[in-house]
Amino acid sequence: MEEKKITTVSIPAHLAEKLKKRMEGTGFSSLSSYVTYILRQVVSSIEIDEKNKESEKKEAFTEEDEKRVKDRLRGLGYLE
Amino acid sequence: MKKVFVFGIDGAPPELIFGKWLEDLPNIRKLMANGTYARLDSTIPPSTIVAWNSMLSGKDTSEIGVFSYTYIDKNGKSRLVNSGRIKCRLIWNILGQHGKRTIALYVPLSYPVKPINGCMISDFLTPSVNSECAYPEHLKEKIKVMKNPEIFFDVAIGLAEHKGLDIGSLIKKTYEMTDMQIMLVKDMLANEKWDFFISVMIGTDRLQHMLWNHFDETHRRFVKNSEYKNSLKEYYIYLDKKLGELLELLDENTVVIVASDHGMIKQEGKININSWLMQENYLFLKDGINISERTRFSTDLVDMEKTTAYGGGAYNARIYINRKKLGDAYQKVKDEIARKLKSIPDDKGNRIDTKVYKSEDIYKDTSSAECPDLIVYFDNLQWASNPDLGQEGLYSWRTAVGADSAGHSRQGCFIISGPNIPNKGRIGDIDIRQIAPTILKLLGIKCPGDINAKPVGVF
Repeated sequence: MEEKKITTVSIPAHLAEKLKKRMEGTGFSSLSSYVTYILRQVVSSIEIDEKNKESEKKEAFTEEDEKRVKDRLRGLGYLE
Repeated sequence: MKKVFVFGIDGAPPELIFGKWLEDLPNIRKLMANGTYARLDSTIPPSTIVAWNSMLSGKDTSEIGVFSYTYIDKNGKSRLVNSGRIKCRLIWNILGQHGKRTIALYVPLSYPVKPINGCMISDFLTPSVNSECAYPEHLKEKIKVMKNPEIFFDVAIGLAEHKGLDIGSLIKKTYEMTDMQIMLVKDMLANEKWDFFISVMIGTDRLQHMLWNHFDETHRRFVKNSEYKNSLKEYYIYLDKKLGELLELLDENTVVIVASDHGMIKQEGKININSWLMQENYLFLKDGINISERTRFSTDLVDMEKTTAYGGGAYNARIYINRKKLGDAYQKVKDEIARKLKSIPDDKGNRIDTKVYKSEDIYKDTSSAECPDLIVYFDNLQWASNPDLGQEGLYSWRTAVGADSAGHSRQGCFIISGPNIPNKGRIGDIDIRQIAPTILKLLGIKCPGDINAKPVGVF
């Protein structure tokens, strides 16, 4: 297994204090692992937002697909 | 850490699950015996695509922003609804923000899939396995290698000609579809990490629409001695067995919820809503429009200068009132139409139990152009609505579209069982919107302030 490489970044001390307080009772053993967890969440949610925006620009159905699904729904009486 | 597993059974009616067939459903019976259960009030109207999303958001139909399977796009064209039309946050969006992982399989109106913290496979509106049906995308490969990927998302292919459809083959295909869907549920349970897991089985709904008059002796089109008399019950027994197999794969920290989005009720017939509105001088068609038998209704046919109201809807009726034309008289005319709708009798002249809802009484946000003014349940949904034109009289039995045997009813099922869930047996009816806050609470997440529904009383 590849060894995990780590690096050091600096954050303002008062932010570190704030985060330490929030960390209480979460089960995280160090501020570093807590900050990593938070950053991963933030990055993943930004990525999800970006992908969502991309998909919003696209048409959900091609014309042929739409016809196909509409026929299916009419058969069920779902579509007037 | 606690986890939540939801087994969704589309359209499972409490009358059958909690009552008539319970003896033969040992796994459901066990969950009920160890936990708490209730009848569940669905959305208004009890439409599959809206109801599941209400269950997973805590929001009402208008907040979800979906009123029908179609909507009018910016070019005035009628388009098929898709996941992008949902206006509110769904539970996996909230869970994702808290680092919780969701697996969501076949949840109605999830096509095209959107990226979530977890995995998603889309629903019965999926055109094919080659479309945007899976997140992450590589999950498609698991479907492609299955026996019959063509019917993986929905067995209803070819149902448009259902009058000539061989019921036996529909049943066989429904089992085939469900087998494949369950296979993927098992695969995901074995190979993915999750905090919240939901899969929705659509097979029940498909069979119920087609088979109701094969077992319900009170149905006016009851098929005597049908070889399919027990087919629906047998499918429920099969599904209960599959549920049992899935329960075996869950750990002891998992709370299990079995839920349906609506129930099912026999369909007596259809009331020709637009023919009625024409007869009552609320609806006028443009000059020169030639109505042949079974002309599909469209607002293109309507003379909006003269028209006060027109209708839509398949199982329930949606009434749109021309506010612009009526001005101050709007409320008065709306009340008048509501009153008259309630007095429409059945085809034999008997009084029926029709409910008429005004959108402002039931919805939080009536601003959408798609939002109807009135929602009508003819005879508590035992009579459907037929917007097509050109029928003789007010009632129709066979329309241009649609299965004729049963329609959606107001109430579905809710069962919850697992660690720290009290054994309360049956409790009073719950609202479908209460499920999302219940799941959030089980997973230790504070319910966002914009969700007003309260968790179910099991804490």
